[in-house]
Amino acid sequence: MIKTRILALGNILVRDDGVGPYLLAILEANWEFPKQVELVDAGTPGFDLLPLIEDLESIIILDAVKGPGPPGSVHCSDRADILSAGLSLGSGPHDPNLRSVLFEAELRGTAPDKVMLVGMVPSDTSVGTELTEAVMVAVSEAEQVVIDILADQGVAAKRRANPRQPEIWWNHGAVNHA
Amino acid sequence: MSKRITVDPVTRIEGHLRIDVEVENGHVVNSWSSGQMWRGIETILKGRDPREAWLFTQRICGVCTSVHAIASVRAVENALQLQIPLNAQLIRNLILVAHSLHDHIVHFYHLSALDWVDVVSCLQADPAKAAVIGESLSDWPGNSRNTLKAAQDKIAAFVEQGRLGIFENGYWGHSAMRLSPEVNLLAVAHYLEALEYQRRANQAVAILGGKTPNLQNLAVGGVANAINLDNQATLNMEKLNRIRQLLREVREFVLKVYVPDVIAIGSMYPEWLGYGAGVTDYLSVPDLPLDAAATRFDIPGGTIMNGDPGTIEALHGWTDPRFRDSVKEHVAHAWYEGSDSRHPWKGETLPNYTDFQDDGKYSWVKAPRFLGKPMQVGPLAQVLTGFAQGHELTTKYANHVLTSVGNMAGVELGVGVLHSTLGRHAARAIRAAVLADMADNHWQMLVNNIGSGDLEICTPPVFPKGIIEGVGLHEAPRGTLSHWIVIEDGKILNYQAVVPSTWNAGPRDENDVLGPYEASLVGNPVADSERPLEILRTIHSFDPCLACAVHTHDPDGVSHGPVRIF
Repeated sequence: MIKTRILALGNILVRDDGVGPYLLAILEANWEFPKQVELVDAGTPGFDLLPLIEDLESIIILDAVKGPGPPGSVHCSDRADILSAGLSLGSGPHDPNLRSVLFEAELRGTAPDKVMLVGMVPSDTSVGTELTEAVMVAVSEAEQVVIDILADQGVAAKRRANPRQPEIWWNHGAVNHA
Repeated sequence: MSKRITVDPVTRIEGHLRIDVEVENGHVVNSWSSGQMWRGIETILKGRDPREAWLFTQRICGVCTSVHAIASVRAVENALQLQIPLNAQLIRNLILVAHSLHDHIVHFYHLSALDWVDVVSCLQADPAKAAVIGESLSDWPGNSRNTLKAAQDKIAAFVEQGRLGIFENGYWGHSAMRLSPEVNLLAVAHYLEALEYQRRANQAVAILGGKTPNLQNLAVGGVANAINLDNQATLNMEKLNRIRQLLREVREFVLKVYVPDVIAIGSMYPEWLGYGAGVTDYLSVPDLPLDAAATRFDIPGGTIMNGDPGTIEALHGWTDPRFRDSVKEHVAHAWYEGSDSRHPWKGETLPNYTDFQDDGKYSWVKAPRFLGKPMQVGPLAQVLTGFAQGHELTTKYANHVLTSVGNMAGVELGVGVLHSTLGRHAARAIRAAVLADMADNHWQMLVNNIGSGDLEICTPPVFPKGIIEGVGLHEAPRGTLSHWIVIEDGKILNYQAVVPSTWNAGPRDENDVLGPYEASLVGNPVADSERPLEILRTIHSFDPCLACAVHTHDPDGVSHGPVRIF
């Protein structure tokens, strides 16, 4: 039974916007998680985000966020932060957004108790598949933030003795077609 | 004296769209549609292995992942003239049907119904009276007094806490809102139920696709779903039965809730069967192949010109040269280098951003043309081209919807009223009913084929030396989608995606002919220029999806309001 989902959002085709999926791949490569934790790269799902945040105890979302601070800054927001930010729901560049989908889940009574957004400020969101240097540096900080959030929630991730190669398939020249 | 209204961004859509209109004497006299995101998938795909293109194209748009994945593998298979196994065709068909049902339900209830439904008004409703109306529409159990009362209580609790949240974008109390409190309550209750049924449709996609969004089960040459009816790890009978059950539950919802709701709204806003036609040249392509070689299709495609069913010309399969040779994209009014038009295989995407110039360049979306003409694509195009060809299920549900709306509104309605804002909603509901009926057949064909001992799922591709070209077609929820690929020595040389919202949302072409969004707004009423609900009604009726680039969570929301008036 999945109780905690670590959910990466963002578009890997526009550089730093894909920092969420990148961080997710790093987490998968470096850590072993208990069975009740699931890691999902959801891309930019819009309304399809709803089923991915429902019926859980905890959701941890990894995404690029607009400021404050210089590129690479890491910010954590909780459920109240996400829901309380004014009334400008569903007006972001990707729409409907996290806030409106969280609201739909509340309306359905399926919203998780624990909601954390681990946000990283992007530098360059033009077309391309490589992260910028500034954001790349932020990834290891954000990695530890995620592990700490899990620890706070009583979930112990274990560092792999032999880390795997991260599956950043969008940066590779070729994909395994076996 | 005309007044300029800018809606930027248009909310409750996927992606970023700006609409400008000029209003004179309460009606739109001119309009501009501007996509605000640059799409440059080919810059990423050039030089890559064609077998991995689908992994990238399904990231173009996080909402339409499966459609861009399937169009991409079809493009490569078309270039290779590669026949895929029947199981692969049918598994893809089931994914496409389930995704379409999910998409149409979400669009109607969650992205556009609030243009017609006043949520706050439902608090004044008498649930018992609402139940009587609901029971007159269908025998759906959710139309009972108790269910409706529970939905009303839920909304009341949110309103009391000052947490209208997502509904804040609605234009409550607008003079163009006309449903009774009871009908508003029914619609709100169905909005909540639709959240559950769109999810079930998506579960069917996830079982077949490994997950959704972003499929994992595709391959150039077929699918990667190993089939073994007795093996837990593969596509087995338990999973197949679950898929059938989910799709049947969704079909119930479509026939007993979605279609009746569209009929009810259509009969209460009949004037919106008279606005919003715009471009009445229509294009759709055949889809849901019934054999491995894709020579027969469950839904037909074709073109209709000037809104006249008599002009129907069928498109014969995915290799019909009439489609392949007739598509060009114009950039005279788009933020790209040059002012010419190019066939997608020769397409370029060299950005050349200027300001927003009414008479010059003003959009990141290119302007596709078919034989030089703008074409409207989408469920309406599919329903009209199917109807004109006598397609049985399309005719059945189109007649049902038209007769029912006519009876409730007390008028006789022909298929011509579908050329309109509400006609697009009606067509989407008709298409959903048609697909919901077809789902069972494709499921049965798959099970029969597996039962006959055929477990083939993939024909591995072999890439020749030299240059080959292909086009992958799919009649997606928002209309005709085509992916165009040029391959040299097994590597991608060029790649262009001509997506449905490019056809509909594109700007003027080099002859200054308006695109479908633009043309559909001309003549629309605008009662209150500060709250241009009517513009949203017509634009939302196309199911705009421009979510193809940046997705950045914005903790502050948007600093400027969505409507500016000059």
